[in-house]
Amino acid sequence: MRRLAALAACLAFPAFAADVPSWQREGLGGAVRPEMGSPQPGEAAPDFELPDTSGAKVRLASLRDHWVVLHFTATWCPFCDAEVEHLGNLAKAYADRNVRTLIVDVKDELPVWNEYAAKHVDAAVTALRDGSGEVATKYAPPRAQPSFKDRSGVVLDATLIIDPEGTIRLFLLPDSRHYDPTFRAVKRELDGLLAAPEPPRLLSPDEVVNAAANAGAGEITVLLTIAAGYHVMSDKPSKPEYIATKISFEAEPGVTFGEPVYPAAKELDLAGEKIRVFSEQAIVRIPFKAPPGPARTLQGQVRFQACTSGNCLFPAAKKFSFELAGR
Amino acid sequence: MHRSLLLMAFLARAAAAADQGPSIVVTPEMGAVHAGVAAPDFELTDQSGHKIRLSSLRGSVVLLAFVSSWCPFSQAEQPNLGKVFEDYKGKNVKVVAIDVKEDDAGYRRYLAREKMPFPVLHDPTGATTLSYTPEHALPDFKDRAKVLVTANLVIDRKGVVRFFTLVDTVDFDDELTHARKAIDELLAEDAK
Repeated sequence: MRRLAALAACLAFPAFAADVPSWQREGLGGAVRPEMGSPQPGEAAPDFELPDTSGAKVRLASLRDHWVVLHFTATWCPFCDAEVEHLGNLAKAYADRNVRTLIVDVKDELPVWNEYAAKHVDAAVTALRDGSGEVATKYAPPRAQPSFKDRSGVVLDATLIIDPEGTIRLFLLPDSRHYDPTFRAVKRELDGLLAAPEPPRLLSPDEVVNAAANAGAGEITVLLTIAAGYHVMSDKPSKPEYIATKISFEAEPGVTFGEPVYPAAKELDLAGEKIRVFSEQAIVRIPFKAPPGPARTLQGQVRFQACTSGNCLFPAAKKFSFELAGR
Repeated sequence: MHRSLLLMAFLARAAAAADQGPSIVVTPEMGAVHAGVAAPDFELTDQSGHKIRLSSLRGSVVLLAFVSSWCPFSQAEQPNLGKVFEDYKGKNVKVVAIDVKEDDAGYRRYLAREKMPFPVLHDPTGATTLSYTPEHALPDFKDRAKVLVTANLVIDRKGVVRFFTLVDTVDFDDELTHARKAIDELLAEDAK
């Protein structure tokens, strides 16, 4: 259980970023910190529907399957104003990499915003208006800038990166100490995220492990094939609470099964914890004795717990059957 | 593993913030006006129509705060300017705010938000504000007067700037603890 929770946290971050919290990385001093409360990187981006400058409604959830750069602005905000042209450059540079760029104006009067957007917001950026500040307030972590009574002001000049699943991956509030209107740090994070391999799709345990058995002279061979990106615990797990991989057979009159011989385990380093696992393929050999007789079908099962580097599935058992030739 | 890493990072940051003092101090590299130079003089009108000249406040310690109605940092700081005024009553400390380059409506909006028991001067053209703007700070701000919004100065009895900070959005000091410390230090100097 402990491991499930710890590993679930890893899944939320790309490997390149897992070691250093975002606010300690160069140019990200304004990143939202865990103690500020939700929303946070790793959490779902609150959904919203806001009008663009033509009045058409745009819903964030409709952009699933795209990466989204979301920037909050106000026409009077000097940090925001210095950034707006660079946001256009970012939008153009990443448009063909499945990135959509949105700018959300917070509480400006409609004509003021429309005039500003026409003049300063690049056509590659979708310009939305949050006239009531309701969306901005939803995005304001409760303990960021606790002295702001109007919570919609907290996210002015904030920039978020939201992944194709709708999860926040970067949440940056303004940092006047290291102010860089060109989004250098945001682009660096975006590059890293776009380059990171997708975490393996979560399979059902049944899809993770395939077992095929063959009976030869005095030995049954079971070939376990484990899906890419997954591992199962070895027959001798590194901790007693981990579920061992274990092969067993249904009783068959006259047939005796010996102790299975498992292959050597691979050692996997998970955030400093070394665990013994099987991955890709593992061949288990089981000695057996059977009296002469007609051909018959034998049944066996493999019990296992499958995990990715970030998540464990429930322990499961997979049945297999194989032919014992007649003699 | 992750939790301890986060905790360490948090503690490191807390320690850094404590060492740093007021974190965006205006330095000589940033601009002509900084601690140690004479505060540029000006004359502006307050909310009751009185003209106030900075040099007429010689002999008092002055907290000079640049403010605006639209800036959320300025809004959060606003009630605390009044608290400084109350806490330093009778100690020959003057609090003076300058509303940066707003029209009458913006200026009135700022005044209406809180009870302001000290002069809030109106600088509608931004000219006075610009005379304080550090030329090289936040070079990307097109409107140079806006660099000063939520900036605070402490000016000594002789009219010399002793403390000058710009808004730090990450470690935002809405309670003006750093400016208060600078005032306290000046008052302690006088007591010697």
